[in-house]
Amino acid sequence: MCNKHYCFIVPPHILEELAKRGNISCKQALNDSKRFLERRRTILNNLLVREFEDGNSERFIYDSQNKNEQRLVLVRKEGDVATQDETANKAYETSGFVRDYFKDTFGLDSIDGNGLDIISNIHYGEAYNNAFWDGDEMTYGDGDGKEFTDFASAIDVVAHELAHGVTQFLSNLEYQSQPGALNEHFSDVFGTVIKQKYLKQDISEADWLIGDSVVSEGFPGVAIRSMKAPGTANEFDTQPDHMDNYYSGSSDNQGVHINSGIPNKAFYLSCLEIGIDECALIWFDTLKALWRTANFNDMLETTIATAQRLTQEKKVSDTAVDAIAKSFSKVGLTPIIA
Amino acid sequence: MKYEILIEGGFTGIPKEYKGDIHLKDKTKESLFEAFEGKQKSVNTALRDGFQYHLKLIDGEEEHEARYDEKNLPLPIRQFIATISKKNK
Repeated sequence: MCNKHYCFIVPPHILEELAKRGNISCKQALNDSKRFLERRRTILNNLLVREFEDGNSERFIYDSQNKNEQRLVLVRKEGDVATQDETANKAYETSGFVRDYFKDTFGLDSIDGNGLDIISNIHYGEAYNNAFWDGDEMTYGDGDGKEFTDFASAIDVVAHELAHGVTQFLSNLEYQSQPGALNEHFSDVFGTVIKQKYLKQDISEADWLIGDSVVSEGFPGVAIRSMKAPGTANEFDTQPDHMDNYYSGSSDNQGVHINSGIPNKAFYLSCLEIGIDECALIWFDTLKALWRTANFNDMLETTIATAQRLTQEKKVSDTAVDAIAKSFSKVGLTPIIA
Repeated sequence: MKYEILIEGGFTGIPKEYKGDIHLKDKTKESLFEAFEGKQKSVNTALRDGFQYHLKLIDGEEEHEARYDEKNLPLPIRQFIATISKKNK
């Protein structure tokens, strides 16, 4: 059996099925083969990530002046006093909050762990209903004022986009199908975690919505996505909350913004059991351990293994592994627990 | 000229689709078709939440179809999409 660049005598899906049925030697063989693959993928990830100049984790806010151009006019940089432009000030403040969260909570020095400067472009395009990360920097539109408004002012949007940068440097999950849905999932996870920290909420007060502050009155819904109830945030929201409703079409890079609803729901359920701080730590360490082509099952196995390690290290509660396993089972993903 | 535009992806993940007929001045049409025929800039594989644009234009016997992302969308095509988008608001 050969699968692109690696070969097995027993196909991995058979090993996995036997392992799920309790065959210890198959589980061992599966783990060994995965370890070899992970090593290979780590090397590949490092080759695919470009060299970046070292920075000082400083913020730079550029005004695109409603053109489709980046780094057009620098309006505020680290240490500058506030400007007349409230969007620039909000982008400065929120990107700083996100940077500080990753530094203070996980010891991550900026997006790349190496002090990369944080570049934000605001007022991009005309009535532009979007925000994106492009490998180097973040870019935000003002919205059309009818359905959407100022993307740069929303803490969860800023955290979501910046987290795409973090993912690029930690696991470099490719942007299609299940790895792509996981890429979106991790951005929503840190979007919602950081939003709750920013608003000083606990999980009972939180709305678990993503993008609720960028939708305007003309938008048919309350937000872009819901971690608590995927598929209910607006009239166009087709996110599933269970593998039974997994989207297998080709749109949206094979459903990267759609199928992320499944792990999103599992994260929400896990937080209800063990709290958002323990979950954030487990998810962050999981993100560090994942690789470019990891799928939902890979992520689940890695999350469980990470939770086991953190439990042994007394960094998370004894109930973490069980809570996460149950949460993923509720969305149709059943873990193998060694 | 008939057009079909599909915009997918983006932070919202909500697709937009436009289909219809439009009359363009010869000069505008020429620059639009030239943009389709021009060498496409490379795809940015690190782009996350960027829009993806799929366009199809049919003008008599002439047919153009192409896909772009946020970073390699030629200006005349971006302007054409903006015109159509405003028209459909």
